[in-house]
Order: sequence, then structure tokens, then C-alpha cells
Amino acid sequence: MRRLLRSGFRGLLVVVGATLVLTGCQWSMYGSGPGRTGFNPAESTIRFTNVGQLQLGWTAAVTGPAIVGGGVVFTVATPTGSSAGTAPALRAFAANGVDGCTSAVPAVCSPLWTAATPGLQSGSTAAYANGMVYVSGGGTAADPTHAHMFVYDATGSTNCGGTPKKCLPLWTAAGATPRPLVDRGTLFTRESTGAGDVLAFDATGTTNCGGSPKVCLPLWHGTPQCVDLSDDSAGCDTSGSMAAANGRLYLTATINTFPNEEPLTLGEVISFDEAGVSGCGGIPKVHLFGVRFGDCRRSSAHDRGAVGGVGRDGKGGRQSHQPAQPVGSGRRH
Amino acid sequence: MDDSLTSQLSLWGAVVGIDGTPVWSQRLPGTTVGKAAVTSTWGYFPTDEGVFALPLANEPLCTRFSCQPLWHATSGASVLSVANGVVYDDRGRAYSADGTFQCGGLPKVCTPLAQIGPTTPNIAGTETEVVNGWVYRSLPTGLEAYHLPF
Repeated sequence: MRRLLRSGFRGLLVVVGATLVLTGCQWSMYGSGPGRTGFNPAESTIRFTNVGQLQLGWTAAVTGPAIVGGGVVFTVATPTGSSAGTAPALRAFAANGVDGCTSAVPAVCSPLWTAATPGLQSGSTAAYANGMVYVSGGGTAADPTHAHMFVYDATGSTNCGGTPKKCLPLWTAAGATPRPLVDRGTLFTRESTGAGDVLAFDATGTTNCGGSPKVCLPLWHGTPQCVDLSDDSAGCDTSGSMAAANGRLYLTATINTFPNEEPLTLGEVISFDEAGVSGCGGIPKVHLFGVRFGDCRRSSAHDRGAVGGVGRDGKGGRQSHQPAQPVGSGRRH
Repeated sequence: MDDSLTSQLSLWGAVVGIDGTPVWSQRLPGTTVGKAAVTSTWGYFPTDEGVFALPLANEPLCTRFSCQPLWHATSGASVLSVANGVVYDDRGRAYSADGTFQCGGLPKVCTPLAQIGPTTPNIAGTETEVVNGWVYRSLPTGLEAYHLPF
């Protein structure tokens, strides 16, 4: 296997397949839902017999990724044709091309409301859940130096006003991810500094939230760590994407190679208990990392608590930030 | 696995059980891989050399290091979506998810059931969203929404 790995694994696409929880009355975040499956099991109208009859219903002159929730299309977008460097904004459009749209065929739609989220990154997506829409932005007035999640009323009612309608956030929370993930009432994001801890917040903005303007603190956080797949690796990048299924949050990580080695791009998957129970302790809760697979043969040996050198501080306190390093890295043939 | 084969390996798709149990892995043609779409039974893998439909479970023809596609399409793609028996790529192509329509040959090759909007790729990394009878594409020229005739 080692020979196989070294000889030419230039890319690896892993699908966690056995028992994914499938969501889908909407396309509420990147990948359709928290499982990132790209599958909408609730769609029943368009099928292989009529897909060829689709016709353009409406357009909007914005450029950026979209999601759909609550009958609304949310985009993190710039006006089409904007110059490079134009800051995107969160824009909401009627998904059925009626409200805010012309009667022409195809209709041309204008936003139902917009939010000029500071620090919003081009290419990032929104997430929809609990009647709220979540985007990843920059600093706030109270904390201008760190990235934050900004959460808005998806209906464009609370904290919204003016013509055209503009919205301010319902609440904010520290952390950033270009593809926010909400599952089982929890908003997952990543710390923008240090080891890029996973941060879990009450997605409804209730528990651990307060102040005016409202700010939320994490329910728990955890530091992802890799298990080395081979002695040839030179470290591990744990800043990959997140997915959630069956009560567990999964992060993808990439094993790096030494500069003089053949290109090697291997994935690992690191998982946490979404509820912040298993592997957590104390207040605030701190997760031990839970490596479930990557090199499956080693998963049991390196499951949480079994990997030396990294773990809780034993007092329920926050783990110190260390650069993510694979266990056993640095050895060479 | 002999060296002559391993030396050719480049791009792999793999299915791993949620408990970490490996199901299968299979070399995929191409040099870049995109975002797969997954139903409860099938995974659809995009590479720059095509779209590949593979089972998630251990079918008779799938082993730890090999699994033959049910079908494949020869047009490269970057991001796939799937809904109600239709696979959508990021260039507006739609395929029969179960390889029943517009498919033939051995190994089975599928051609698009439809072209939805322009062949221009979606904005990099964006999906084709399929919700409530609408298909949404994020194109460089703007957001476009498609539906069936009323």
C-alpha cells in the first residue's frame, strides 16, 4: 500500500457513503444540505422524462454562489460586470421569480433585500436554517480584527428596513468558513486564527448568546489533528471542508509531501461528535480529535484518546494552539 | 497490485463507510477531480475526463481496490448534483442517473438528456441547485432559474 501511495496518488475523492442522512426540501447550503451530498431527495417535479423541457424562468444580474431555502434564493454576489475587487453582498431573491421580478418572460428579478456584510468573501456561500441565513464575514465593531459569522432574518423582516430593503444581522459569532454548515440546531464554523479550531454555536442564537448587538459564544470547540498516512508526509492541512451526518461532523484534511518527493495528495477525514458530548469535557467543552478513517487500518489505534501528545488539558480548559502536525511525522525512509 | 499498475495510478474515487470501513476504491480517468454527488445508493464522480456513476455499496463487481462504473459520460465536469433520477453537471448537462436513457454500449456510455442553458461553466465551485421544480445556475453572466412550462 505504501508503494501505491507513493507511486502516484495525485488526487483522492472520498465519499462517505454508507448511511448518510439525506436532507432536502431545499438546497439550504453548499452541497444541498449538511451531508454535502449534492442530492435533493425531495425533488419530484423534474425528472429524466421532462428535464429537456426546462426553460428560462427568470434571471438576476448578480454573480456569485447561490443556495435556496424558505422559498428564497440567497446569493453572495456582486452585480454582474463589476470590476475585480468589488465587495460582494448577501442578496435574497424570490425563488419562484414572482416577488421583486418583472412580468416579462423570462422575468428579471431584483433582490427582496440585501445585507452589506463586512468582509464577505467572493466565492463563499450562505447557509439557511431555522428561518435564518448565515454568512461568513469579517470583523465587527466590537471585534474588528477577527472574522465572524453574520446571521440574518431570512424573511427580511427583523432588523431590516428602507427602500430598497437592507438588513442588519440578528447576531454574530466569531469564526469563519466559506461554506457555513448548520445541522441539528448547531452552526459549525472554524476559528480564523491559530489551529483553525472547529467552533459550534447554537444556530438559533439563544444558548450562550447575549448583549446588544447580540453576540454568541461557542457551545464547544475542537482542534482537528491528522494521523499520518505515511512516513513520507511533511505535515497536514486541516483547513478542508466540513460535512455532517448521523450526528458527527467530518472535516477533510490533506497530507502534504516533502518538496523533493513525488506529488502526493492524500485525504484524511477527522470527525467530531456534533452534540459536543462524546470526547468533550468541562466548560467550555473541548473535543479530543476523533480520527475515524483516512488510513482505515489505523483508525481504531488512533481513535480519540489513543494518540499521544495531543489531547485535552485534563481540566476542561481550552487546548493550546499548536500547528497541526501528523502523529509520527518527520520520519523518512 | 503490481508495480506496472501502481505506476499508472493518478486519480482515485473511494467510498468509505461512515464508521471508517473501506468499501471500495477505483482509479478514475483524468487528472483533476471535482465534487461528487451522492444518493443513498450511488456516487457520481466528476473528473476532467468525464462523469462516472459508481455504487456506494459493495456490488459483486466491486472490491476493495476496484469498482466498475455503471455508466460514464465522456464530457468532463467539476461539480455534480443529483435529484429525482437526473444528474446535473456544472455546464448545464443533465444525465439519466440510473443509466437508462440516452445510454448504451459496453461499458455503458451516457450522453446528456438535455442541455439546460448555456454550455458555459457555472462560476467556479458552484453547484447546479435543483429545488421544487426549479434549476438554478450561477453563471458569469448572472443567476439563471429554469422551470418546466406552466
